[in-house]
Amino acid sequence: MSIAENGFLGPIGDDLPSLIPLLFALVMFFYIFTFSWNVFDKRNSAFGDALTILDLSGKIRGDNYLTGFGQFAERCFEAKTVKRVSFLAGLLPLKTGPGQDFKGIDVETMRPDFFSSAAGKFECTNTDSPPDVANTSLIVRFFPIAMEFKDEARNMFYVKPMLLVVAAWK
Amino acid sequence: MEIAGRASAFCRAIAGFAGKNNPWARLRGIARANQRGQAALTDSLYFLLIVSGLSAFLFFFAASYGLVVEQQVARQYRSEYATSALETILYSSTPRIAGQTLENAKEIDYLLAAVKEDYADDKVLDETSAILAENISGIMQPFGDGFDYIFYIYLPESKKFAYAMFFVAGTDFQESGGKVTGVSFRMENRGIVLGNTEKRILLCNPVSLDDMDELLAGVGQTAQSNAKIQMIEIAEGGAEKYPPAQVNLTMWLPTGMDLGKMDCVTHNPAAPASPAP
Repeated sequence: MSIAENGFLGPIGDDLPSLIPLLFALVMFFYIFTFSWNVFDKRNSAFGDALTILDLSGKIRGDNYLTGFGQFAERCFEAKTVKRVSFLAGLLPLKTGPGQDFKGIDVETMRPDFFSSAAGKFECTNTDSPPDVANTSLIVRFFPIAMEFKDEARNMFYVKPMLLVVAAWK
Repeated sequence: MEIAGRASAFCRAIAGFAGKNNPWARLRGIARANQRGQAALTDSLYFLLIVSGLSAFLFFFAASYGLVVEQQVARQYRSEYATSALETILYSSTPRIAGQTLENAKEIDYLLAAVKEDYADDKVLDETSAILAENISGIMQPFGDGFDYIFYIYLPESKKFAYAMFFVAGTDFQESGGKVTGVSFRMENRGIVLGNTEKRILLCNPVSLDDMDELLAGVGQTAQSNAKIQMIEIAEGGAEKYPPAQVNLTMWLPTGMDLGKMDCVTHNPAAPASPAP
């Protein structure tokens, strides 16, 4: 009786049972590796976007004081250098007296009624297409900002708090 | 002779036992083949064990990756909001006459100038207290539902607070003798039914900065912004002094607080005051 007849199946066949845990280990490792890679990539991208929107907001806010539409337009021009995300930013009036009525913005439509003056609408965007809020991750940030209003009739100016809304998406 | 014959037979038996064709040797060969298979299986199980360990480490590392950075980014946003809010409060204008708005007022001043003027009169903020509270709560509206905050003006030289305002969202307020002595906030309400919680603006008169620090140390993570200003004090002889003051805006997630040392009363937003013309 030869050795083969006693259970020796050949170089591969003899190690067949050991291939099962080996393959299982490799499949598990590469699955976890791919999962981790995706998590790292997704979170790094989210951090990048969150920091980008802060940077973007900082460019529009400047020193938190706006002298008027001209300065807003200058800052908007600078903000448009940010290419990583699409964004829509603008100013909303902020009521500070009794009966404060801020209700947030409707992110479903993303059509905030931004403040307008005779010089123009305080809106800044780097894209013509609105965000697809159902399928994109939308980040919205609010910042109060002081804005100077000139009243030629009364020959005076005053500073009112406004709300800068910045929405960004990819 | 007999012994020698027996020894020779034993040696032959041993030699034969170790020989190529005896059944024990064949069995030993099979055992070697089986042992080779067992070794490969053991190796693969060790490999599986090591890879499982590595995979588990990688999985938990990936699951927790960036949570600290995420919190840092969120805190950075709150800090920037607090800074923006503080600057906006300090830049804002206010009408000089009660009942007027900025759009129709005959006389307008900076809010900070009105505050300084009010303080210079009697070293107390009384006429501008409500206006300041309204401005602060208005500017903090986007965060007002989800955060408590305090705004105060502190004079380090005389070690006293010129102004201290809390905005507090709570489920229950403890009151005694017209003063709010504490607020409780149930954890299950955090971020879920905040709209159902009672929100109050409290005007307070804390005695020392230590009390304030002690209170803020117990509210968890905070985002704050500070600025330095100069107040005005007029001595009896009419001489003006410009003591430095620290303006602080600190915000945190709603939580229960013991306000016993803060000497707080509820501000009624329906009756705003205005600085005297």
